[in-house]
Amino acid sequence: MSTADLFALFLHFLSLSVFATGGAMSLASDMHRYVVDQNGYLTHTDFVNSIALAQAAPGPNIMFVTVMGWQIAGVQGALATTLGLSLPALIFPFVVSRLGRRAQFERALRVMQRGLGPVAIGLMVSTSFLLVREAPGIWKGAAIIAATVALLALTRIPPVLLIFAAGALGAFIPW
Amino acid sequence: MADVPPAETGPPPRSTSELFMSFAWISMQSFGGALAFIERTVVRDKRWLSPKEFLGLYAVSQVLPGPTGISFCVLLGDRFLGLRGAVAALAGFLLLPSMLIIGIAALFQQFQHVPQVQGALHGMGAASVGLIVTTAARMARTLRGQRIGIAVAVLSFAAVGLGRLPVSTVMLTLGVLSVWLAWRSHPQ
Repeated sequence: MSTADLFALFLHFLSLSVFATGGAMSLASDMHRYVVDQNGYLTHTDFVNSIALAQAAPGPNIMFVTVMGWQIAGVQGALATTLGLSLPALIFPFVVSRLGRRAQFERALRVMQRGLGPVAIGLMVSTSFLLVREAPGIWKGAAIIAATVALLALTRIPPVLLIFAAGALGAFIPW
Repeated sequence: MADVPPAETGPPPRSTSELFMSFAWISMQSFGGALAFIERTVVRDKRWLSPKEFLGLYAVSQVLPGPTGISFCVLLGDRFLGLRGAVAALAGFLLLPSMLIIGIAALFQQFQHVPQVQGALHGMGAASVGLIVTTAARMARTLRGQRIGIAVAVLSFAAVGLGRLPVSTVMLTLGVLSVWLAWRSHPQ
């Protein structure tokens, strides 16, 4: 990957971060558009693998972005995506701490929260839709997705155990 | 800090290395979202923030640009030790898990031609998707009874999920509109 492409990757994740409301996973649909659909840096399977590995390992959710960058361009790629998504956060809080705890600021915050919350929910549903639509092995993938959703709703099994169990199952069934 | 009530909180973090180590410890325990683990360390174990202060800082982190967990690290570090504290907390949060996950990804890539490894990844991927669907459903349920909120969420999904529009476009149009509507409906 050329330096220009690497820089463009960094800039894309930087701009995504500026518009992030909620967690990194709500941005996955947009990342997929850039990384898989537009530039073909990764296949859809690579993309889902980065999410799977990050969910199975300890660390914040944003780690799937690190794996994605690493798959695209090694350690440099990992730095480009991870720092791109993290650096804007270093700037904005200082603006906030200067504004302090003024009542007006508190009110603006509540309004922003109420306004942006539903947008973030739509983004998270978009991520789900993208991932479900292209589930691996069609009905096998769909069956594991459905079983996971059901077990999470009905039991208190820690999610990471479900991921490990699905991995063990996946290793022994033909896809 | 002067604004920390002494009754609910303990002594603030003394050094950048204490912040770094605490956030490294938090991130290495975190499975499926760091929030619960941040809360446990920052509020219950270290008592740097009261529960109320934690919720306030979390609300700011959600609204601010950047993923919520990242913004929270930066805000907390800044609150106690300024820019150095923010960098220390963020570095602690990201450094070890990044190295670990790259190691794991490299290991999987070594064996990616093995059908069982591919199958395991397919299985793990599908379960991860189930996790994300569950999170999305839990978030969506909070909209019950809010007609405008539901309409905004549906439009946001239609634009990004179906229309494949960039998140930036949606935030600058629908996001701005939705914040304006929220402001209009609660002018006080």
